[in-house]
Amino acid sequence: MRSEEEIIKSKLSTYKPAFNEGDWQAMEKMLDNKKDKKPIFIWWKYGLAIGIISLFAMGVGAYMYANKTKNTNTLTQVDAINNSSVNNNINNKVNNTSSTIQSTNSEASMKVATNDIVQNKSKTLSNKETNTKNSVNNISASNKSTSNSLFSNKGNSSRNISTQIPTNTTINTLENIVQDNIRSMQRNEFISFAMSSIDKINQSTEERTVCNTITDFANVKDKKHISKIPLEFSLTAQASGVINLALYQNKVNLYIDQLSDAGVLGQVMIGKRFGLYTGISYVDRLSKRNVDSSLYNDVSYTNSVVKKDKIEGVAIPIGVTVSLYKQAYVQVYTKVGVNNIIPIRQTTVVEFNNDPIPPTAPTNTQQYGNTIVSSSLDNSFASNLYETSNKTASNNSFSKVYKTKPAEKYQAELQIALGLKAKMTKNLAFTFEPAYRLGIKNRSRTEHTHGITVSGGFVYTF
Amino acid sequence: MDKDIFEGCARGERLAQKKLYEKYYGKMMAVCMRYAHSRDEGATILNEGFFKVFNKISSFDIENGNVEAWMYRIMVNTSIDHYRQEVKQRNIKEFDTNLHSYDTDKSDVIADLSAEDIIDLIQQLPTAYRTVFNMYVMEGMTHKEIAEELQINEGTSKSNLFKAKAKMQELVKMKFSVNYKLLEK
Repeated sequence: MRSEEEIIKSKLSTYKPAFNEGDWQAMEKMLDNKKDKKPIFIWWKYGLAIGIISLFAMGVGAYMYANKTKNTNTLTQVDAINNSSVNNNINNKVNNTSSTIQSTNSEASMKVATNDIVQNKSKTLSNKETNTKNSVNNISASNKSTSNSLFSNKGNSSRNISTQIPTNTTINTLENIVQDNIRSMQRNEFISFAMSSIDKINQSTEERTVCNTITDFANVKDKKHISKIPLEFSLTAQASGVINLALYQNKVNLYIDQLSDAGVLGQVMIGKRFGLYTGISYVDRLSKRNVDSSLYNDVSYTNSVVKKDKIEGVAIPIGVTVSLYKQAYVQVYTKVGVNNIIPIRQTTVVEFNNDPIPPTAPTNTQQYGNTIVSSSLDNSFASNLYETSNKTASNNSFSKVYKTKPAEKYQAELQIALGLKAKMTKNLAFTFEPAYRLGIKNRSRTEHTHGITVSGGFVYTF
Repeated sequence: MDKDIFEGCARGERLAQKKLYEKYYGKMMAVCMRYAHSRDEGATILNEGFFKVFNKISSFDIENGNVEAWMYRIMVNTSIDHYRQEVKQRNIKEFDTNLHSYDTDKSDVIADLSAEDIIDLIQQLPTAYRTVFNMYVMEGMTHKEIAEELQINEGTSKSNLFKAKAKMQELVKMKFSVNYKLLEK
């Protein structure tokens, strides 16, 4: 047998088929595709880079904004204290004291009345005074460095304000000073002022009232979250189903699509109601359809149908969120944004069913089961082809799978969602997000898809 | 000449690429057609192979390397890759470890066949038999090497070669009987 092998080998070693121009043209198409592939990859990389930079920039911006607003919020808090019930108490105390003083109608009586008040209340308030002083001291020490660095100039003014307080001053004098300066006072200034006040108001009811005010202020200021901008970074994994109302040749084709998104979303809240979100995710858009397409109506495969059309790519969603309703554990919000999709690969499965009347076989035909398929079908995909493979669907049908570079380099979907966020722990929550999606740019071939999706994910708030 | 073409290909010049393609088309197409079940599939493999050639050409040492041997290797590897892909997609179950006897005295018949006829016969072999036949007979690989390359065991490789030859004989017989019938008429 070896001689037989030798014969075969020697005969084939000299065999050279003649050059075929058609093969070279197919080669040229492959080489042209190679040139086109590069930009897609570059765009994909650009998209990824833009997404990461956007997230980073949003994080840095939010951090800086949070620090800035912390100081602004101090003013708000001081304002709040100014209007608070505690402050009203000060006024009431002052009014009561004034009334007592007025009713006594003499200096001696006024002194007696004042002493009575002090004696009656001093015992019960002495502990509070001590606590307040301690509290103020602690806060002052813990915030010294920040305060000094942020408000070094204003720190000088606080000392000036403190020196305005005369010894054994009255609550009215103090209140006037506060009223004159409160808007320009920062936290450290207020603390400094309060400590001076305590030192200078000796054994009076008003002293305790001021102490109460300071304690309240300190407590409010101690709740860090109030002065911090809500900054959310969320990690979401979504799997969605959509009922599409695809318009094709002015007819509505109802079918179920499968949409899968998985990725990272970052969200920054600006104020209590508004937020911006962006991120990056892998997307998979699978359409199972049975519509005749003009792309596949060649006479040689009249029984062919597109069974699946899948696009895989990278999405960079950008949009705004608006909080509609918020309680401690539940939040309802709406989301409006655009999903910017960079398609990476498209998979089209064409199924050839058993044709009762064999179609006309053009040149370069291939026999698949009982169906003769023109190579022109291959050619219709050839310009963007990555790979092709065959698959037997059943005895009477045969599928051909085309993995191609998507014709479109960019797709976009408008998304309007109504979401529900429920807290599970202090930082962790889950979301349920029904949404309406509309393909606004190159959704898929000739179709303009829109439909309802439902998705869910987890949110971790930093 | 080759050097200029190679340098042009490395720069991505289409004219140089066409020259290289035309120059080696015959030899390389013959390789690919042996591994394919049709001329079209052979052309697909050829183009995939040339695609690799054009991509890797800048790293090839034209001064010291053998261009033809290098390209031949790429074509064979591409053909084997193509076979692997087909196995994966179609779940080919053509491997058989049972050995059967067949008539070995057919060298005179084979000698009467043209190269085109032999290619045609090889293409009619089931994919697995054809691949092993090519690797053993044409590339001179051992069963051990074939087994490693195709991730099968040596026994399967031997069996497939055996069956490939048996099938070839059967096809030759059929071909000649048709020819004889035509001559009788």
